[in-house]
Amino acid sequence: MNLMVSKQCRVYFSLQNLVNLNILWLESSKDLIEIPDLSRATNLRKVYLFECESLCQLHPSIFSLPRLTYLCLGNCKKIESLKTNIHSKSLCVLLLDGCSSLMEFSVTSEEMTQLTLRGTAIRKLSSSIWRNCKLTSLDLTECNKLNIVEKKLSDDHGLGSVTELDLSGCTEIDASSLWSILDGIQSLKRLKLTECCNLESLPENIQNHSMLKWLDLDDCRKLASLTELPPSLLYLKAVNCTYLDADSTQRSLLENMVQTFSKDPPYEEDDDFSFLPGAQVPCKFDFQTIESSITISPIPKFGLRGFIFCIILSEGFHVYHHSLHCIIFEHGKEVDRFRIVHEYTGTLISDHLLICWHGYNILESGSNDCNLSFQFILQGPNEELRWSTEGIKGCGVLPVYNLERGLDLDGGEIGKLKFSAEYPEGFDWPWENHNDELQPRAFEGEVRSSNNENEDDQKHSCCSIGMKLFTHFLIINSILFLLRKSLILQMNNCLKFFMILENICR
Amino acid sequence: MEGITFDCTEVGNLYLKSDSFRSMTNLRYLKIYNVSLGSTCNVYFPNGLEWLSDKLRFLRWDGYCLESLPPTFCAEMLIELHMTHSKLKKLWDGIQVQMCLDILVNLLRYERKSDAHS
Repeated sequence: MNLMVSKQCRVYFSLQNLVNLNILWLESSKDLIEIPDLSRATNLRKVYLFECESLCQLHPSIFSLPRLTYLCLGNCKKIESLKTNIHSKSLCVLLLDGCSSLMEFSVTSEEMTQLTLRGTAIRKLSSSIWRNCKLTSLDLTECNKLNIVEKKLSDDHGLGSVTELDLSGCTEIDASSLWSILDGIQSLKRLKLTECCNLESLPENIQNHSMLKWLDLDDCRKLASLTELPPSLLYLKAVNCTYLDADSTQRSLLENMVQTFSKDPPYEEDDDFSFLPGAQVPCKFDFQTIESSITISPIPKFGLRGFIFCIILSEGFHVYHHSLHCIIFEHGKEVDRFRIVHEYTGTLISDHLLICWHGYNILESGSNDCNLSFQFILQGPNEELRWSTEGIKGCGVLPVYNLERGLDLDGGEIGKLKFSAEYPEGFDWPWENHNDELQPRAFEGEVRSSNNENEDDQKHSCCSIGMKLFTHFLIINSILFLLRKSLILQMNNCLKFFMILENICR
Repeated sequence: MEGITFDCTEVGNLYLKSDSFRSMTNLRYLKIYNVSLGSTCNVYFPNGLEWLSDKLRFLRWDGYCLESLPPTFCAEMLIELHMTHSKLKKLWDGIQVQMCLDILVNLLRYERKSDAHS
């Protein structure tokens, strides 16, 4: 009898005493060897054991806790294995970065959104990883032993929400294991493979990632061929991938850029450019030189979205701490500038091309053409080396025009609109100080797009468009007026108004 | 007393008796902290800590200097436990848990006996 009481007590004490515990936070308790069985801590939500460097193992009961959402074991350098068959119903965040002894891992959760395995010693990614179907962030950087990735099982969903994947420093990963990873993920936008020095080619299924926009391949020194890249890819970094067949890569990249930017100019981020081996400005660039600055012949303004620039940086150039500035002059006067900073820390082992985009925002009045010059200059890290063009071996400029359907709301129609809907006096076009010069002929002459796909537009009578327009006109006019007060409207924005108007009128 | 908040950042070394918390039977909130993270806490118990209130709901103790929590401390009411930079080896030492169990067992026996007598 007493024995039974004693047993009950033992059960009572070891299992029930943490029943109200919500948060267990033992960060940097460097002598902590073990965590008790927490299986009855049914209210436990957060466990934070960062830098508990003596902690060797975790009681597996922790993964069956019904409310546990957050578990951090970062820098727990003695943990070697985390395996369980329990598919957690609650765990959202599991952080294991810096668990440098962790070799075995198979934890899954219905709710897992963030999983960090950075710098662990895992060799194999078991197929259970693809069961974490709600993952939005998977960090596998510096898993320098990882070389086996098990395929997604046919009944597994795969990771539908992971948009960025960083495999930088996974030095053992090869094309076939990368294939399995890309097979398990559906909608990648950014893929980083920096220093994956065992990678000789990219797997073919990279083409299936139709949203992939950024691809980083810096220092993949063995990489010799890129398979066909998805048309969504706009920014490719492949610094010092000297075996790479860069010509075809440049071609497809430029094609993607022109296709995309002519329709939809991007919001410009500092990091949005391409940088890859190459010694010549590709022939697609209309204007090119072997100097660091270039003056281009007058080009029409209408429909001009922006420019793709190509700058050759020479072998031996030390990228780090240098920023590249581009200064844009119109009629000899500086009208715009932007800069690009690359984080690459090494030196270029061959000539490289930097390819970037910059939108055309200049609202010079008085002319339908623009006379532009571009100057590229490097800003060094030290005061004495502050500005220099040393390292720049040439540059090229490719103007990109709007080829979008809506914008071939063709000149004829705009012209008739202008005359059928009488504009109130004092109305200024946002891109012109005087609308005198805005002649229908000018529009027709300058839109480079074809009207083929726009045939049904012509069925509309311009007059009826004009009538309908007039009713909307006063509203639009006041909106434009307000906008003009607060910001400089781009020509593109204004043209979008026309697209909206056109749609309203249909 | 139901709550203590104590910032030990600018206090010199404190050596406390093992039964310092014995009289605080209603203590629900205990926060002994050090604003400058990473530094050790200077509250010491040369003879160990024998007792903490079972009513504790919140316990934060930065740089707790002992290897385990008091053996008699029952954390059933505890909702948050924050012990960063502690010297803990185990939350509850196995042997001490056994001691605690023995106490409980004896108590239960005693209760049974007294029930039987009445």
